[in-house]
Amino acid sequence: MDVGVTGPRPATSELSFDEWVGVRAAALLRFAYLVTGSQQEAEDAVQSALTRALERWSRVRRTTDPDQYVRRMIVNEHVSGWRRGRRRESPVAEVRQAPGADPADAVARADAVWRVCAGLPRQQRAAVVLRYYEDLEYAEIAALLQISEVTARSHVHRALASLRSELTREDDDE
Amino acid sequence: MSDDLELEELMRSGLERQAAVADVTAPVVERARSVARRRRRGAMAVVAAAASVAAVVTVGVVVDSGDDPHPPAEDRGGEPLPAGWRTEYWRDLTVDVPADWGYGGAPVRSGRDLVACYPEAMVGPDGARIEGRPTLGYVGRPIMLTDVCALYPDIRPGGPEAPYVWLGADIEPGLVDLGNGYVQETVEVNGSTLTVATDDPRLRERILDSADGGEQCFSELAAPPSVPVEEDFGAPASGMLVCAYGEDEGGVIGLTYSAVLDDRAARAFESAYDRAPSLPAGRTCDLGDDVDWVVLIVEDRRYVVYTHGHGCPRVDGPVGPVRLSEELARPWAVGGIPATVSAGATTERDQWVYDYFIGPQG
Repeated sequence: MDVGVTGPRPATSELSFDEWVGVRAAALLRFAYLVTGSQQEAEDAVQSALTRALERWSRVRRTTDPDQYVRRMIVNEHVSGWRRGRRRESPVAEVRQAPGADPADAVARADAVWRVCAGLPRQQRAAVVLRYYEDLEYAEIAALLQISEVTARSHVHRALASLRSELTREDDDE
Repeated sequence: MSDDLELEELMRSGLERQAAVADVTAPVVERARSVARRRRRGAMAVVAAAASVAAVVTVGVVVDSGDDPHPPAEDRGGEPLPAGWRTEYWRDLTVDVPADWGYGGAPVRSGRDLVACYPEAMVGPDGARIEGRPTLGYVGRPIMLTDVCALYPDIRPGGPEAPYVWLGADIEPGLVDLGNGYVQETVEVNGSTLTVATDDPRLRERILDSADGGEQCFSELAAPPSVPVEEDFGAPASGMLVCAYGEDEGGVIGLTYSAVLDDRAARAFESAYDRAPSLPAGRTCDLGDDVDWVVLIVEDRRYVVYTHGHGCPRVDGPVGPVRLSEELARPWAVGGIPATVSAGATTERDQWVYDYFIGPQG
């Protein structure tokens, strides 16, 4: 994850939108990319969330963690994904090779992670990203996704099981 | 084969590696600023509600594009609401409706039947009880406002007389020709149904396209709310946030209504609370069940209203519980509250509650 501001940091309630977004935009784009699985969808989701945050900034900065607020909007917009008239989102995320991909075992296993995540339903993928990329607790994940904590745990555990199966399949193929 | 810890570490490193693929140079911030500037430039500052609902202001709802009275839904996506519209909430569903519409009942399961009690505007947009307004559009919820009901789908042979929106009705998605030029369309949004019936296809499209997920209140609670309120509702920039919850037959405590009221309402409520005598310590009532709660939020202060209170309706707040009085209810029991929140059987002195909430007989 991108590192935040170094040195003394003003209280969130005092942060201007420019100060906050200047250090968080890149991290939000990476987060959105993992959740949506698509660069275009990530840009759309982040732009929409930032627009709404900017218009409500006086409230957002005083009453909640802006990161949490914007993260939630990004996830909600993607996970809902039912809107009429919009291009139907593919349930399968892009599978792009990270730069410098090579057949080394560690890299292959990392690619397996994304292949598994790319095939997950949207809400499940969001739960996995929030757990293993954002390092949120299950209670926080449940609150953000507005699901029960049991469901959040189930999403993550089933994703791990899928990863285990994928790795087993790769090992058997070798 | 990796054990769970190894799998988790692999998941972390894999996601980190994939996140590095994202193009973070995309000018999303500039685009966001541009969109926000465009909206402000074309704005007319208005209160987006009917003139008679003077105390109700919904969050972020004050501007209109100015040029197009019906801006395409794709340009809005939750952005400021045009004049003459208001936002309604049910579970994780929000939808915009004409601000002058009233409130009525939507079909709800009663045994093997679907009944609407009653599928007509019974409460005005300001929260006042109304009668004899069959041509007034209304927003219906699957809540019994009265013991006089109509059987769905045979509600009105020949077709409706007024447009309506139903939130959470137990109806399958699809299109129905109702007659009299009316078409009813039901879609599913975030786990709830949204039904729109109009004789104006453009209006129906407009309403359906406005449907979105909710952010103003939690769509469901794990347990009845209590003070201190543990959930992080946040707070409106000004005024008072109202989040009403009801427990359904499955035991789910879901959002049934929400609004943001102005500073005047917030001050009137808190002033009444501060003056109200505390309930005697240890006093409890054991009459009936609590099925409705209202969470009120003013800045960082949280209140929970128990309209049933097991027979003793009360308000719990920062300095403890007080008896629910008409003075305490009046500031916020407006708009859709009288068509959404019920009060249980109560004493002679508390009969006023039925002017503000749904009574046992409707």
